[in-house]
Amino acid sequence: MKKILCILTAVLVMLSCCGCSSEKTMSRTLFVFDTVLTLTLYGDDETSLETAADEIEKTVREIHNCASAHDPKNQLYMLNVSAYGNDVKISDTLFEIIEQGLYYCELTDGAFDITLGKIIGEWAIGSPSAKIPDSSFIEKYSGFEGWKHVVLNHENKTVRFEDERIRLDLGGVAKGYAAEKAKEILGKHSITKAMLDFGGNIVAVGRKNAEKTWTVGVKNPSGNDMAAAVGCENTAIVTSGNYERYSEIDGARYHHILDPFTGRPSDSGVASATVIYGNSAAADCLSTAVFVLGAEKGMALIESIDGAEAVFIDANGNITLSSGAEKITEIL
Amino acid sequence: MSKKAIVVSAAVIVLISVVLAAAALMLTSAETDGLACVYSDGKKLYAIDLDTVSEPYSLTVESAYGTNTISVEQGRICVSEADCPDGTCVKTGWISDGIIPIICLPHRLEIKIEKQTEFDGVAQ
Repeated sequence: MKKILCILTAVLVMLSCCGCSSEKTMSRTLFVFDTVLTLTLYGDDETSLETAADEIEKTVREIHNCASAHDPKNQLYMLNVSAYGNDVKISDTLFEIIEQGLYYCELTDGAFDITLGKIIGEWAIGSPSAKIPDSSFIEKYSGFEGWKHVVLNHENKTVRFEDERIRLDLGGVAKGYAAEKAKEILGKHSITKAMLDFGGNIVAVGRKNAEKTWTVGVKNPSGNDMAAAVGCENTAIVTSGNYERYSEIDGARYHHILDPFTGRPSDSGVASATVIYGNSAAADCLSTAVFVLGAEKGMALIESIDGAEAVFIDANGNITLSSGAEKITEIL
Repeated sequence: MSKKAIVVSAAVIVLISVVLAAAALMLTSAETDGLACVYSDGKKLYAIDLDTVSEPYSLTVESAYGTNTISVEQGRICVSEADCPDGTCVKTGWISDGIIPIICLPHRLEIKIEKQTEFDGVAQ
């Protein structure tokens, strides 16, 4: 009899915990990096969630301010106009973003390249001034491997360009870097459950609950529905797609991801490349790189990186999964 | 109290607890189910239950960044006019599900349908 009573009491306690969970949810929307960032944080202490969100907002805005190349007040702008032939001292944050970007330029053998600012600006895809640059201009920048000619001085935190064509564009790494910093701030506040959406770059912190991982949809490149659902836990999931930003010029459609080897929008046959990886900055860089490399070479790169997974979707909607992604992905 | 009576009482308490827990869950999830939420610079201005819209109407959101006119019909919502430079929000057209939001970056306006879906996030 005592045993039965003990079991019933335990069940009651569990049910009361479920019904009156102390978990609070805090959601905040920010307009940074020319996109919408949504932070959804979970925890028992509302004040701690608010404080963490405040810190994330401040950090993310600081990162945006130093890594945006368009505003003459920003450090990156100053660096771009003065670093050819000169050692220019920059902040630790900007130095770290450039350092991480260059690491992935090297790892991907230039398929991801942070030095294409000049030609990206010339194409201006997604803006009202989008145009096809002169072929001589494209020729000048195709395959110029600017990333091999950026010199970092780790001691003095200076950067020098050894090629006058170099203009850094950190759009492919800064958002991922900021999301990684946001994750660090959550850790500092002992927040173990969160969903960070940095304009479609997702960081899933912890699990949805004890039974379920987070479910992240991979958008169908040619529609408004989902092509796949990925079960995520403590990971970043980032997609590069030809549908994200594009311009129509003389009746033809040009998307914004330039192939560093040709100086033109990538034509690898991939419509979207999604990378799942623990580090958000890395996932950001790798998704661009494998989009440019195409499904075959891109998959080979992903399979060579421990813990990295990928979902490729081609123009016909065919989906290819890396070996680890097969275990966590449902094709819809 | 006999042993049988104790067991029956305990079973009744468990049953009531299950019913109460289920009711609590339903109440909390109903709060954001199917609402079109309009945010200006991150602040929620409106939460519209699109299923209960009987006649089409318009809303105007004015902020320091500019003006957007929002059209609301049963089951759907769109930005019908805006004085932003790119007009992306107007081009997005009507939305009726929680997958794609309407975003006007120049005006820092976002409209999204907050519906309980099977997805916690969308990589795009």
